[in-house]
Amino acid sequence: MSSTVGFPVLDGTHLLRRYRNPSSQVIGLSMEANRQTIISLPNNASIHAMRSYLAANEFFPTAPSSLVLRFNPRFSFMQPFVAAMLAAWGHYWSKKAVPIACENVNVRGIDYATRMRLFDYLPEDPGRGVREHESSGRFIPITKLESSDDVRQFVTDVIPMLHSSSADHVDAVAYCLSELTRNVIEHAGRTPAFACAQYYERPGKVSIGVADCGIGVRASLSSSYSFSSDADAIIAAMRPGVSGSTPVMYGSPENAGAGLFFTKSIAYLSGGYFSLHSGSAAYRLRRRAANSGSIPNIEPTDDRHDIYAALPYWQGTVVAVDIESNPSVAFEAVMKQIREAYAGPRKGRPRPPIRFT
Amino acid sequence: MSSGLVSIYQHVGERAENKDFARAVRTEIILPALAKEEEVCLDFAHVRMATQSFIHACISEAIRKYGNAALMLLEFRKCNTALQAIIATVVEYSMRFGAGELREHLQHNEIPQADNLTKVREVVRAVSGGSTSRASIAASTGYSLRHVDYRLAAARILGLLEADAFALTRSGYDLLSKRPGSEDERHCLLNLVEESKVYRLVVPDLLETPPPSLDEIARRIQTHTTLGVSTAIRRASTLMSWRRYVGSAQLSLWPLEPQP
Repeated sequence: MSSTVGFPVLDGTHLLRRYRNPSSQVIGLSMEANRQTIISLPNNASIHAMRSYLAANEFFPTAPSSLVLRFNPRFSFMQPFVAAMLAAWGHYWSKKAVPIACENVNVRGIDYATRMRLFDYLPEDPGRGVREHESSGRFIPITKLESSDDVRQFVTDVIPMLHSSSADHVDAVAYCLSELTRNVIEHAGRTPAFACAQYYERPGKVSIGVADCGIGVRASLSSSYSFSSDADAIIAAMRPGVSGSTPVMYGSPENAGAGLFFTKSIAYLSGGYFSLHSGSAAYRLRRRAANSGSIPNIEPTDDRHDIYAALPYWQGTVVAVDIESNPSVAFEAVMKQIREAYAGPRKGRPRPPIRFT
Repeated sequence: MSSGLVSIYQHVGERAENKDFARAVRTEIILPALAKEEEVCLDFAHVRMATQSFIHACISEAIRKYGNAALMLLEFRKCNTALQAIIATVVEYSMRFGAGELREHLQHNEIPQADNLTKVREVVRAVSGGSTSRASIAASTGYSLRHVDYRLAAARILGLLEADAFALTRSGYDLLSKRPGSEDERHCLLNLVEESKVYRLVVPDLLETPPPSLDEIARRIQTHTTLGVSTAIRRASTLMSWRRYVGSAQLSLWPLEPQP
């Protein structure tokens, strides 16, 4: 008997292990339960439904004997961040030799997961003979990145694959993909990043997902900061200047600790969503209200947002970014507005100007 | 003064995000050049976009370490508006959160003890007149050896004298060319204070209004050195004396220092 939604129970099958001393005498017995855990996907796995989706699934059970990824039996829709999550998850457990089975792989909508190459990271072949559409123009399939060279090549390859209405939109997407994937390579421990993106012609936006099963935000910052909860850690991680490299603000020659802030700000200024999920907590930035300011807030909790705590544990980090294609917001304007967030009243003598020639 | 030119596009293309390259530019070109007071030109022609991470890895350490001098030696060529905004952002936080937070250790003689910059100038003048020892400076100026030591250290902190020799630097000659007590002299000393290591590391806000308190400066001095509380307070008062001198054109307000 296997568990239903999310919570592992003891199966009726028990394994007996015999422990022997060096003289091969049996000195003890232990019973281990056959623990199977099921991950159930809703029919709409999107940033709007992320709380219920995350709360309902125990992605990292203790010592599972097997795992099941159950697609919704009626329809399967998933945003890129979910696809990236599942790829990272599948890769993680495959490396630990935990068998993963997929259910309902013939459901309507599963072709998307196939074209996104999700099943490259799950030991399952839907066997549908899906013809992969030419990805150019609409989506970037899940790509595993393990080094700075991989990131560099990925960003180079991605640009021509994006078919957006404007070069500014492409710049914003490339910017976010670069920052987010480099964050994983540099901070998540020796673990790959899984990145993908999708262009939605209506409403004219690109959704990005980057996921890993690394050490997570709290552990990544722990060498320089101490947090009492994952929620506190992810809030801090989105403030500019906070990096695990050093407790000094912006203090490392390599890292300013501002990548997440810039990425969130790009999403905010474009009118899109942003979410950061790590450990047992998640932050979701809501879309900017029409009457809200055009300068991004330094403090993440000053934005319209949701914080979900006490979620089933996610080993690692997942970031989702929606960048709307907003012709009235040029990329350079976005950068200028972020710049304004940093500038504040400054006392003292003026500095020499920056030499722009 | 020689200059280095780095074509960003030639190495990373129109989207600059390769932090490995940025690191190489920083460590192999920018920092060595700035150490020799040489200019560096970063040419962003044909570059559409750069990540903040790239710009940070390229220039932040240089800005934090050299402050205003870095701004004067670094040239950013043909940057579009977005690039200018990102570079300005990195400069802003690097300057604001930079030198004072680096926690670099300072030697005791890198924290000044000589309150009176007029008398520091006199020591520099004595060296320019041929004094090549503490004793000859004392004889020339009438200062005690102890005060000669304080003022020699201050002169070296301000970059007026060579670190290990009784010889003037270019800045020393420049200062002596200004009339004593003049606005030009004050302005010259102001620049030297701002470029000094103790200013950049310990009191980058010394000249702001209001300045940090004496206790705050003393606390920072202790953070960067092994000096005790009372000594740190004494050194803090020296820095405040410098602020009063370089920050005001009214030299009549200069506090009288007890004669040696």
